[in-house]
Amino acid sequence: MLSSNIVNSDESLGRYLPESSYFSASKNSVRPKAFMPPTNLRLSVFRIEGLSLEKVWGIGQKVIEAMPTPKILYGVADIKVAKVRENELEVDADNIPTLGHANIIGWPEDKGKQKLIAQSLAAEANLILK
Amino acid sequence: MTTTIFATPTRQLPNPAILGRNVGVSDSARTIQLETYKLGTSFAQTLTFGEHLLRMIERLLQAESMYSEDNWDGFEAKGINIESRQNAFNFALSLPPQVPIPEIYVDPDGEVAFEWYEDKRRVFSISFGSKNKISYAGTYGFNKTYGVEYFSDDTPEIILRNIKRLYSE
Repeated sequence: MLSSNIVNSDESLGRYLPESSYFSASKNSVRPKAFMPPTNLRLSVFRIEGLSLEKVWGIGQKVIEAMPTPKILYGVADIKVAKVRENELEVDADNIPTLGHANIIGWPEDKGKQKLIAQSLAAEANLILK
Repeated sequence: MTTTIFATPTRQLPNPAILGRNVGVSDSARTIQLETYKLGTSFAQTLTFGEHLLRMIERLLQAESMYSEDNWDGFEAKGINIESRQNAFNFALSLPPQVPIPEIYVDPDGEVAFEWYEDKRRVFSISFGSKNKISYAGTYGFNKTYGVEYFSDDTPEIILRNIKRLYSE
C-alpha cells in the first residue's frame, strides 16, 4: 500500500527520466547518471509496484510538469527496493509532494563511492521507455 | 591526377575567450591558460591528436551550455562548477589521443564528469572536483573499483589503466 511508510524489498521504485542522456535506447539500458544523488543526498523516486503503465506515465507527467524548466518524459528506470538495500541504501517513503513519493537515502559522502553505487543501480534497473 | 594527402580542417575551433572565462584567476594565470589553449589548438589544426582534442572540447562546451543553470534536472541540481570545468579542460588536454572520447556531462553537484560506457556492466567514470581532485569509479562485470586521484600535468596512471581495462577485458 502506497500510504504505508514501510517499503518492502520486493517493491518496484520508478526513477523518472527527463533527459535522453539518462539512458541508452540502443543498448536498452539506464545510464548511471540517472542515479547520481543530488547534493542533499535524497534521490527522488516513486513507488510504482502494481501500478499500470498508464498510471506510471500519469504520475511521471505531473512530475515533469512541476519542473521549473520544460522537460520531456522519456521513460522510467524501474528498480527493486532489494537492489537499493544491497547497496546499503534505504528508502524513505515521505509521500511528499504526493502520495507514493519516496527518496533513496543513506548515500555515502565519498563521491567515488556514490558513482560506483549509481553504476550498480543503473545496471540493475529496467529501462521502460514511454 | 591529384592525390589529397591531408584533409583540410573545415570546422571552426571553439572561441578561447569562452574557455578562458574563469572567474577569480589572476592575469598571469589567465595568460598561461590561454597559451595552453593555443598550444592545444595548434595541434588541433595539424595533427590527428587535434581532432581528438577538438571533439573533447566540443563536448565540454556542449555540456557547459546544457548545464549552466542551477536546477537543470528539475531536482535542484547545481549548474556547472567553473573550477571543475577548468580542471576537466586541463585533463582533456592531457589525455592521449588513443583514448576513446568519453561522454561528457555534469553531475547534480555541478562537477563535470567524463564517462566511458560500453554497456551497463562495463563503465568507467570520473568527476572533477576542486583542487584537482578526480573521483573515479569503474564497473567491469563483477569487478568494481573506486577512489580519488589528484591531477597535475599528466593523466594519472590509474585513470588510464582503468580506461584501458574497459576495452581490453
